[in-house]
Amino acid sequence: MRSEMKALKVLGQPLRRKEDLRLLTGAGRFVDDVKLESMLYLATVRSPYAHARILAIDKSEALAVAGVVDVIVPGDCPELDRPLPEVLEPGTLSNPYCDLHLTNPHHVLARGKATFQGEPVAMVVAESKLAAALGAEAVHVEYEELPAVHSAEDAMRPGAPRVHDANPNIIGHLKTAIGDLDAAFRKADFVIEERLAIQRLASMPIEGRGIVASWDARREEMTVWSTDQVPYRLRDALARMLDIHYDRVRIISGDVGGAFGGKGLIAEDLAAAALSRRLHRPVKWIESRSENFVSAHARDQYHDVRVAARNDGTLLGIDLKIVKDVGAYNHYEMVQTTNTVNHVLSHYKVPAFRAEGWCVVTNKVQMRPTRGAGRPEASFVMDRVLDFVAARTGIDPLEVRLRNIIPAEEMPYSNGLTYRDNVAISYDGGDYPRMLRLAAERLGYADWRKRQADARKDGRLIGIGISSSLEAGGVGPCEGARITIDDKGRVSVYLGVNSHGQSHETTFAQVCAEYLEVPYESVRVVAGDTALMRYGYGTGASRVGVNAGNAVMLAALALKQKIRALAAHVLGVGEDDVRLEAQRAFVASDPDRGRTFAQLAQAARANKRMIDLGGPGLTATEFFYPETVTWSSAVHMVAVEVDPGTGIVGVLKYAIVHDCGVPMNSAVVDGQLQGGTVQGIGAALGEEMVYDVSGQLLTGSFMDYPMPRAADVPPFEIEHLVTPTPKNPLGVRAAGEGGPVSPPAAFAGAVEDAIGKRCRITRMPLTPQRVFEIIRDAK
Amino acid sequence: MKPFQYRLAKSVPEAVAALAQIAEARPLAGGMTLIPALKHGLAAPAALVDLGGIASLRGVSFENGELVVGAMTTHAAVAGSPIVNERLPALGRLAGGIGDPQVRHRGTLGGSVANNDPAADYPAGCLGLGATIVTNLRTVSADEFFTGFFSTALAPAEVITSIRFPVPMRAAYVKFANQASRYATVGVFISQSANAVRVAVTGAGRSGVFRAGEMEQALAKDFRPETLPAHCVALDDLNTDLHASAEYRSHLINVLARRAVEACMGAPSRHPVRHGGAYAF
Repeated sequence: MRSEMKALKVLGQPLRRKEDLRLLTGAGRFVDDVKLESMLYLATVRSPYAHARILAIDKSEALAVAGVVDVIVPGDCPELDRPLPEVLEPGTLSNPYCDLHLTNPHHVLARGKATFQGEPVAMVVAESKLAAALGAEAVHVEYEELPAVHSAEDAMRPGAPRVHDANPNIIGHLKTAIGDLDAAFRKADFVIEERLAIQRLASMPIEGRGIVASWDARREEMTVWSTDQVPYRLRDALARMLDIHYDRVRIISGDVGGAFGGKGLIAEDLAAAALSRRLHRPVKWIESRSENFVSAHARDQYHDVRVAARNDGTLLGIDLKIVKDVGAYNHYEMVQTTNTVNHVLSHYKVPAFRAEGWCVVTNKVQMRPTRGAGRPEASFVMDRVLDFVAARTGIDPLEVRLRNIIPAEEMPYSNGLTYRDNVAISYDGGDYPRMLRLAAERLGYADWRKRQADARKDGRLIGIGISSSLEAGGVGPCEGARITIDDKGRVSVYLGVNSHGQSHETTFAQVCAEYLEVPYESVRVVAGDTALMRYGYGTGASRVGVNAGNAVMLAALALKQKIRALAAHVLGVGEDDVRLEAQRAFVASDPDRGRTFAQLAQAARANKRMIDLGGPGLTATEFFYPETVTWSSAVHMVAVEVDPGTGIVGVLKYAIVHDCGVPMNSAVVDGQLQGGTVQGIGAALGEEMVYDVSGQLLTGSFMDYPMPRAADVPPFEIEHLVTPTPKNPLGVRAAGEGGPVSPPAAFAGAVEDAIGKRCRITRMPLTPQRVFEIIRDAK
Repeated sequence: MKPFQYRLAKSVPEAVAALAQIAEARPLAGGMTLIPALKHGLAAPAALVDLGGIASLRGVSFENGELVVGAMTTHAAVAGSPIVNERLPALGRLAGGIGDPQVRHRGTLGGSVANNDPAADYPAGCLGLGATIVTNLRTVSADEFFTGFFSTALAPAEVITSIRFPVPMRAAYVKFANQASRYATVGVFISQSANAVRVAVTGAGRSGVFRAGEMEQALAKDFRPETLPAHCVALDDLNTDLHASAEYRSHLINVLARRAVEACMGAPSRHPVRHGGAYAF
């Protein structure tokens, strides 16, 4: 399918980002920068309890607060007496593994009872942000506290309180199997059993959520500025709520300060739009950081794993049971758990595998995906298993991996599993053994083993950790791109995907410049407005590079064909006689006879040749529909030193070997990889959302939730391998989510290796206190 | 944040008068604790009396064998002061390790000491050096000044003007910072002068900063890390929270005290700050 194998001139170059000047000079425009005439402000009254009946809401005092315009409780606003729409990831046709999926209606405002601390109970609109906040404080809600379900184990206990009265606490189930697992365990030299847990954490974008909704009563149109990652889903949800054609809803997302999976439709989105239409005034809501802490969490999944292996270190079978705590609501089917199942086998051959998973509701904040989405859990399980096998057999962890790895000559490799788009999984190329060896070389694996032994004599604890990861990405259904050339030869690329930091204005300009053969400087990428393109499927799931990138390429090629056809007509020659070069079409045998792209753009306005070339103007729109996902891969290796006095883990060296196919901009790929790895280090060493047994969040601010800071970040030794995928014309693979996948597993291995004494690290994160306890208990 | 009156005082008497006149007025120093408290609705004073305009409250000098630091001197100014770094480098390093650069350029010595956060660094410095707190009314020794969890000997409308630090023979502060807040999970300040050894511990105690008497006695006899007792405080008197159990804190007091003694003795640190470790201190 890869149609044009040519030497790349622009694509892949580490060009400076087009968005940097704007963002670095403070000229970015975020939702909170939108200020409209007569705008109102929305504030949310939230449940202070994890689980409580709502007996009464008294809004009289709030209505008396100066500046308060209205207070909304259930029943006040018919548009808001509805559940939030369910969300399935774009391209999800039907989950091949899932045989149970119960949906608990998630109302805009809690009905009858609150099911997590922070759940919206009422809303206040006011003339100012302060009046809205004071009004929200003056809403008096009478609660009757109920016993909270604070963990998945608690939720599954017989007789546990129900989070939602209408459904049991287990709301999702999946299973799948390959090979003969029973035979694997019969043949095993030994069996390892362990519970491995990845903590609850959260996406932490620098900008929280926000919305401005502005109803134009005269035109009966809604204009919305939003931070949503999937603006078209918001558009469709608002159109349904308002009962108007979706072309009457326009979502604008300008600059957005990060999303990482957490920025999807929430109660305030629907409320702002409904109240704007009701009150005929624009309504703004900006999430506070405190609200951001109770809006969406991620991960919180444990794994009971049973492994059959041989004394030579080879794996015979893995039996995996997964339990995911999804909090009070789950709008993502079993996508994350399914991702875990489909990434857990990683770079390795496992003849028999059985997986079963459950999604369980608790009285905690709802789950949304966060960067990695089920994959860090997968690598954590597989690399822990391989390290346990190494410890058990006495074979070096690197060697154990080489004994189980998929050889390059077996590519494309199918393991018998099915992706969540219902297509059989096939790893589309890559050389995993080479990656692993290269990572060992870049880290200086053998040298660190020597230093480890020397350091141990002085009582110093040095350890090495290894993790391999896969990143299936580029899920469909499709994305589109429209390219136009104006009368001066300037090029615009329109996209249906918005950016929250992914460098779309740069990378897609590079694709266009490469395949339309125009200067990078002349290309402007325009996106983040549903009025530009009628369909889009969201920036998430590592899908945009593959989908939109190929759409831009196809549109560029289509536009070149259109230029060739028009030029042939204007010049009076056959299309085969036309050559395109340096933004000019000319007769191959007589290069002086030609027209510039700018001249042809003028001609295309009225020339009748355009009748069967799609109408006036030099413009082309194409969509790319991937057949299924493509697989990126990486190996992370880290050498750490553990301070036995304090439990602090310090990085001595960090090496990454990574393959995401053809890079669109190598500096952007490095940035994605480094940023993602830093998030992974946060998850490995510090970040955790901790609840007490009554369902109160104990880590509700950055005073207690540790994010890595610039000074915490080690230099990364990065090497890219480029294995173009045959699954799309550009040859690109996903690059957005790989970074955070491996660090938890790599650090677990490294810290365990440093401490030695046959300790087993089975849960994340490795905070200093946790490491202190592991050292204490290993004595 | 709720509306409040704002007064920019030009002199200490003017500030004191405003604090006395307006009910529920609070002095505002650097605001690094007070402003977040206002933001989260944890404090809602009727007025803030800003001490930031009083030039006489800023600056560092060396007088009569003591280092004198104005109450409104920022942490960054202390950390960067040549006088501090020549006479009492341990105090400079303590100031340079507070919070982050933004906090260090706003936060002040007087604000930190008056607030007496049980996990703040300066109270350990004051107590560990036997400092004298000078106010508009009187002088108070550090031993008498810190009276418990977020409480001090300050009377209403009493304002700290400066703090006088005696200069010991040697001193060191070693801190284990909370990964998130960078406050001290445990911080140990040790000083040795001709007539005494002082060991002050912050972050760990249920009633805030305290002196570790057993450690002081051990070090007074023999100033070596090996002599320090493994546990110097009853676990019941130590904090247990999300980040550190009393047992872990007790362990850290010993570890950090040993490192502080090593630092006093001029031993090169075997535990350098590393990338990815800070999450390190």
